[in-house]
Amino acid sequence: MKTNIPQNINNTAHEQAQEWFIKLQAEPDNQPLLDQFKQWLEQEKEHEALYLETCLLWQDMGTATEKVVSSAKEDATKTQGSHCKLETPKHVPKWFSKQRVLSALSVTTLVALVVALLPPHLWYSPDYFTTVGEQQTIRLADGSTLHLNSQSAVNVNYSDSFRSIELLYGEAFFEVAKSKTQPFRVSSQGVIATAVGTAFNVRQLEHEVQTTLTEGKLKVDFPRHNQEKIASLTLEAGQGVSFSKDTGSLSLTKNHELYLPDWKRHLLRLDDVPLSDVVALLNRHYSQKLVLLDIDRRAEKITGVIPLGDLDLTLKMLNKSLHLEANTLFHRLVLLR
Amino acid sequence: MSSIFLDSPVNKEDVLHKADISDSRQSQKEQVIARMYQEHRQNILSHLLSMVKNRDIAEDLLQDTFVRLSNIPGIEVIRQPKSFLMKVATNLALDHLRQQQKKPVFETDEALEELISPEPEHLEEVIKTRHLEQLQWAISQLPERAKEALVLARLQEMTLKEVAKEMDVSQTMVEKHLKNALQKCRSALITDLN
Repeated sequence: MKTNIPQNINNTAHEQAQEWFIKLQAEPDNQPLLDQFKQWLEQEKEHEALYLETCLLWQDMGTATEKVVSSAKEDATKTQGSHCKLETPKHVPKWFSKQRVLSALSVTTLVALVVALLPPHLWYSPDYFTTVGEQQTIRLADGSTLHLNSQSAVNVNYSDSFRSIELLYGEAFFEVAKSKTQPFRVSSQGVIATAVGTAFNVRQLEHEVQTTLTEGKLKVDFPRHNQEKIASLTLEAGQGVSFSKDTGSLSLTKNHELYLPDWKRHLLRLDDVPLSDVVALLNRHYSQKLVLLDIDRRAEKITGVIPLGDLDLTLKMLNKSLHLEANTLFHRLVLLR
Repeated sequence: MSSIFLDSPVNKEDVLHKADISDSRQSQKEQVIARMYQEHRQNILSHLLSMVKNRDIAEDLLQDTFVRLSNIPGIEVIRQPKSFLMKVATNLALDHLRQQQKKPVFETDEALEELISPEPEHLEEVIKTRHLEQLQWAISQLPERAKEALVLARLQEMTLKEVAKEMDVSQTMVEKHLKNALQKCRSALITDLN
């Protein structure tokens, strides 16, 4: 393979380093090119340092580019409600690289497992998302505010006649700016909440969609189940409704008087939540993976409040109140039984 | 979640044994990285520990550091990776610390005080923030096409060939765009220093 060797005499050494970086990036498997690169490195003592400096610059440019792209995206949403062409999920490159190093380190047998465990935002490619343990507040173009809980994702779609948000997975709290002409609609697996000016929270669980209202009025539509008509009801402030995805049944909950949802106050409030969902909710917050070994207890309903942010404390509480014993493996995996 | 797998220490025998079987370039690279890992692991880990003060997190960041290293083209012929590794590790730790500060966590008072107290990292962080702002500025000033090439190559991790195809230009053109981006970013940093 013939390549232009970046050794133009007029170029300064750091320019040569940049050219080498790009050339090698283009053809990482070109052995003759690599040999020539080695020669260049040996030519001058400073060459290697310059090359590595370029590599560092390239890495920092990644972070900077992300910021440029995301601020361009914000601007685009602000001005016309459309999305920037170059949408780039924040963490994708990192995960891809992790996969790369896995193979580089010859742990090939585990790759299949890792793919299965990749965070969901990789296949949804949502407009906004958070990873495990991360929370975000996003100011939308119309002045509404969107609070994303850990491991959650939404798509935002605004037009002149409506504001539509899709909760792909996880949980979000919405503070809606008033607009008579553009209803604010949040859809979550068929459940649609429509608001004019209000604050409410939507949470997706394995078998349920829970909608809780803390201010204003909210109309909630549920998907058709067994030929019934589409059910719909209007929530008053402080009320919540759970929709069961399996049976289509609804249950009303009360006493959500505090404006902010519990997760914004770093608490996990549980009203008759199955233990399997409790574990799933905790897994959204902690980087350690919790696994419930006792399959018989999956359906056990739990009521109570768990403080988030301190895994040891959480585990202690689980142990005391539910007699769940935690065993930690490799600092990463927590087995509950 | 998958970090549990990354957490298992690199098994020297495994890597080297595999390398013995096949003499391909890929395994040469693996071998080099495995050697670098053996040689520098301890130093970097204790450096990370001194910054983040949590063993699990430090181990995670150590893995990340070597992920970054393995993505460097031509790494197999680099002889002195130590200062590069240190810088990457420091950057990752600073990123981590900054995220921690943004996210209100269930902290004890002591941990909170530690977070507020002026530490040497604080200065580094200020410098790094400034550094990033300069880069952001330089990137936002790039021509649209150069910006596009950069996003595709850097964020989407496409190969230059893929970038060329996506943008419907020659690979040489992509290389020019990227070189331009590198140069502009570098001079933005240097001008700022003066």
